[in-house]
Amino acid sequence: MTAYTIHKKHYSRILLLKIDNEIQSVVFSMYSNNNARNEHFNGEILITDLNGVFLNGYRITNGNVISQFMKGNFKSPSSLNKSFSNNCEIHSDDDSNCILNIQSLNEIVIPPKSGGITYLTLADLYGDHGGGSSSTCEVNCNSWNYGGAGDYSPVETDPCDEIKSQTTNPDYKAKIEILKGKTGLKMETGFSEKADGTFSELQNGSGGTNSNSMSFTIDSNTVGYMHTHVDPYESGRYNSDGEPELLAPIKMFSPADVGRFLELLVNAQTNNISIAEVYGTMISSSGTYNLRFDGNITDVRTDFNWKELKSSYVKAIEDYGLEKGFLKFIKENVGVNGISLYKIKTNGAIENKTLDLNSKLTTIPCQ
Amino acid sequence: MSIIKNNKMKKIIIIGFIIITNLSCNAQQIIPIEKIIDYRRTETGLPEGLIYLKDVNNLLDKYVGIWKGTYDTKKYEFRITKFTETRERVKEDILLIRYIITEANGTEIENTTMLPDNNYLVVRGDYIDRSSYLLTYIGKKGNCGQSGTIFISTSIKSNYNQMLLSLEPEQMLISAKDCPNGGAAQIIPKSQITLTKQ
Repeated sequence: MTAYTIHKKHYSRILLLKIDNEIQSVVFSMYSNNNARNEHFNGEILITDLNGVFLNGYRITNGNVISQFMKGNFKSPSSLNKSFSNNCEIHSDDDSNCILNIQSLNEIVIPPKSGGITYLTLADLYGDHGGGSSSTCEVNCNSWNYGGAGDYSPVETDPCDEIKSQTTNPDYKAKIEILKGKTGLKMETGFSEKADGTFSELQNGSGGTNSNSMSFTIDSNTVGYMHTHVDPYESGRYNSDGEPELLAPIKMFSPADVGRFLELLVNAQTNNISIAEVYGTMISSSGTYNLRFDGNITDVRTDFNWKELKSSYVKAIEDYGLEKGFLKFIKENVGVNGISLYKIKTNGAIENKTLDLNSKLTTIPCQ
Repeated sequence: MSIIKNNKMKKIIIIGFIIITNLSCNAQQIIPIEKIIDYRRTETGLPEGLIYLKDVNNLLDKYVGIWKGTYDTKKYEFRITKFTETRERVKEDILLIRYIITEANGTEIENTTMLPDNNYLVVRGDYIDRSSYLLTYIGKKGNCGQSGTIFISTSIKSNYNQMLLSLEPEQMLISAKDCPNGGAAQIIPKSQITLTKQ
């Protein structure tokens, strides 16, 4: 069964086996070296107990077990992000998801066998209870095939689960907290995120004169963005009666924000990134919202002329309010099914905002 | 005879009742345009039902006409008209602005005066905040940040013959791919421009 761990990039499952009338359980996590959905898995496998204590680990190349990790001195949590040279050569030493950075391990190369080792024995998974061992058992023994990289990226994932996992990720949380402190500025602030969990700050005011825009670069690894929509602010100019001009930005995803989200989806599809991981986040003093996609990826288009839709958007928000106005705009002017809006409340609760058949705003709390 | 009369009366009363009910169901609620900002602040939109956001107090009329001015060697001409926009369940009195911007040597930078009412380059009114009227502006490079809110205001002090106009550029997430040079330059001045009624 699927397991959710603090390591967002891992594909984790709980494996259950009845041995001598006792249910044995382990958490089996796979962390791919790349996002490609190949027939064969490339990456690391971590086997822990339900508390995350290391039991066993392997490096897999083209589906074959090439080395085994043995427990060394366990790292304290505060040193998780420390660089350990020669530890995580593939995912880099500062990748907090890399199994070699999570636990201090020694790597032992397993001699190649004809045909390769494409399975793990029950002894590998459950220790001595499983019967057989990786060194002696080659045929007709109790073993389990972990599958290819195609199994690595679950396609049908509940966005609620993805957002829950995201909002408990310490790196994401830290960035959200930074942005929550910046909604009182006169300019938007934001970050983009790559599939490996690293963030880059978006540059504001780049390019032409008098532009308030932030430039968002999507490369083959980009999975999401988060940015602020700021509070009402004074422009610094005064009207004919000497009153300050007051700007009141709309505290909801704009058409351009939706455009960038759709571009991320197409980019993910092109680069074999899990669609379930793609997100857009908007942080304002009225609420934090998340865009997710749970439709058919082949329905996604990016050829909208957003500037021509801007006026309809502004009036939809004026007539129906932030949430309903946004959803009606998406339904009537964008028409891509599956663009889903989630609100993340200050207490951490997550709500899906949707329109029912009568276009009534409906709130569905995530379980 | 009296039974027939009674039945007739009943029918008339029922039909009358149906007509009144229908009228009240379809009744349009009129909200003065200066109240739009209050609903905007609630973030939950306008009340249910049919709404007419009406310029009950003729607050927009003083802007209607042709306004000219110069800023940074460029010449600006703004043509302002009053228009009633019809949406799904809302009608709204707004101002539309079309404009001509020319270089000092007469070269035209932009001219939207011939465009139809629903063209995206025609600036559309939003709401009144104190003595300012705010409108949504989108330029041809609107996908790269050439867009924002235009503020206009005019006062009794100038006998409504002078108008201040400025642009607050939109804060947006632009695509680095579509806008390789970053945000596009604005053609409407961010600094306030003083215009004179023609």
